[in-house]
Amino acid sequence: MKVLVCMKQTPDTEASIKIAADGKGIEEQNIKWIMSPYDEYAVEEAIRIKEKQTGETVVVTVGTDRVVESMRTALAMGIDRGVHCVDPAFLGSDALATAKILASVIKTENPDVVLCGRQAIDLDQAQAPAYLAEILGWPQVYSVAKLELKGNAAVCNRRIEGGEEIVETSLPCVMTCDKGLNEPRYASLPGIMKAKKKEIKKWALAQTGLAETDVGTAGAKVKTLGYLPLPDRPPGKVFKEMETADMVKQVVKLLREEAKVI
Amino acid sequence: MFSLKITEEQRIAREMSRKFCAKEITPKADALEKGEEKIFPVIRKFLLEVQGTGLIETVEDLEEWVQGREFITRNLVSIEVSKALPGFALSMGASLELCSFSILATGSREQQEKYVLPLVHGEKVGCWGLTEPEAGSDIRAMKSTYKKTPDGYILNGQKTFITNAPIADIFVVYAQGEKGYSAFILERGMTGLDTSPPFEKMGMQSSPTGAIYMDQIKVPKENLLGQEGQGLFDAFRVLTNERTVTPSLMIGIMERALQEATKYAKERVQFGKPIIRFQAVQFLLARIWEKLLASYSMLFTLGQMTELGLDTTLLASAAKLFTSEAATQSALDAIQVMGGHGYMREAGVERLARDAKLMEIGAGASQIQLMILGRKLLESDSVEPNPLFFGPSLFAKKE
Repeated sequence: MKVLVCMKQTPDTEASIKIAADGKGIEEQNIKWIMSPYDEYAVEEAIRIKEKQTGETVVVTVGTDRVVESMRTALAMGIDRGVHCVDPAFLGSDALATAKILASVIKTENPDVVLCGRQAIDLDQAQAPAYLAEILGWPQVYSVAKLELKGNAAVCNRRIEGGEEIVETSLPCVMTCDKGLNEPRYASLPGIMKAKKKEIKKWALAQTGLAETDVGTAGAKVKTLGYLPLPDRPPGKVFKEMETADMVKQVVKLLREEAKVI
Repeated sequence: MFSLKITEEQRIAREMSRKFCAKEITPKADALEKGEEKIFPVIRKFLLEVQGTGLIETVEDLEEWVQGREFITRNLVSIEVSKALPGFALSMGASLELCSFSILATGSREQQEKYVLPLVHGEKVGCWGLTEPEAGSDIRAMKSTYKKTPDGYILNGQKTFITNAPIADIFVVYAQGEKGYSAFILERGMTGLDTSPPFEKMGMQSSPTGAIYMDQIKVPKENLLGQEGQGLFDAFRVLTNERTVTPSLMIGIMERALQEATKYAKERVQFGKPIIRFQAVQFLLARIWEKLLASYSMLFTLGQMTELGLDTTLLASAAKLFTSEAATQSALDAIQVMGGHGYMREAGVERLARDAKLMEIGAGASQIQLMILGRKLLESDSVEPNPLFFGPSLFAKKE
């Protein structure tokens, strides 16, 4: 069984995000970057599949040199090798353009299963896996919380409103991993040292077979016009120097008339 | 060769240690301190999942692991652990850097296989017993005795203030006999071996400390550790190792103190502005950082000297002395920045001060470190003050 994981590097969940001066992106300096947490489930699941039934695991990432550290973390956890899609032409890719780049790798690698995170925790689009399945002409199962591979098929439990849905799909397929699927392991120190020697192959525009107009800003069908910060929260109101009963009356009145929450 | 440039692997290792602490230690820190949760299962998880010691199956693997442990990575990992909970670092250190280390340093292959493997896997808990009720700094005054018998030794005596003693499975203890001081490996369950319940103490409360009682223990021949009569020399080597690993413990405390106090100073508003805008507060914080940076410099120098095989005993003494005093002072300064809030247990900073204080006492009190440095000045005709010009290590590689 060959399992390929599409991984994205995102800012740390605890990073404080500041919008860049031009409003077109975020300030990337001084941010800690991590493997998107949902992608960790995908990495862990891939390793477990290999541990259970042998085969090969590959991690694929689109991004600048910065993403190599997160790829290395996946290798340290136990993934066999990596493909790093990096080319100046890829900059500014939207989800569709990114999926085209990933699909070019998948067509060459020919895995049995492609695992992605349910969504990246930065832009929360959850689009790339669906595009990917469409480009490849493969089935897609979204938000998998339990996975069982049976020969040439996979049985997946999906989280849905109020319960779970059990589906079966043929392979090859694209699946996105949800919380609860597994408990991702830590990259151990020996794992980290081993990862140093594992291969990370570079994959540039020339290898993708795509045109320059398919990817990057040129290929993006959705253009980001700008980013806005969350509005500042208005200051709270403090009531003092009155009887408690009067304060309560005031608060209830404002909750009803101004905040309209009761 | 000399480079402190942080590698990708070191960065990932620090991150993993951080991640482990955030998930497995920090949420339980209070329960561990109160004794509601046991420390060793968490240590075991850390050893297996972060240190990856499960892969060590043989003495050869063990040797490879010891050789391959790189100084900076090791310390980056320990600093994170200490930042989360110094008592965790202390208990793990007693099992690995004291008990295991002493067996690795002078033990036979059989002893390493039998005792060190389960210790590095976290299956067994180790402790190292040198101090006695009447022999602390004056260690030669120890009253524990051993007597040779046809098939081994009989041990009698008592050890105290021993980290992990109440929970230990494997004990390395020192006793006096015909040929001088010697070291022995004891196992829980040996007739005549007992330990006290954990002592109540000022800090490091998640790490159990207690006494070891030895009453006519029959110790088999093969449990003599190292050469008979060489015990104190061997113990000195373990102490030097302990002093070499102390700075990371202290740096963790200082980093935490600096972070907590800085965060608070940015949030706390007095006289209409965050208190970090007042120089009086900035200076307190800057003093902590100054000590932290100096501690890092000492640690890096120790690392380089260790890798070069230079004699680190003097610098290890100085570093242990400096960083432990600096950590206590830094934690106290952090409390000062945070005022009443810092004095409250809830803020978690007063704990750092209580924890730090231990290392001004354990592994040789500050005054002993001063004596080591002072005596060197007294006894040598001309002293080389620059550590990079110190001679080779006294504990050159074992043949």
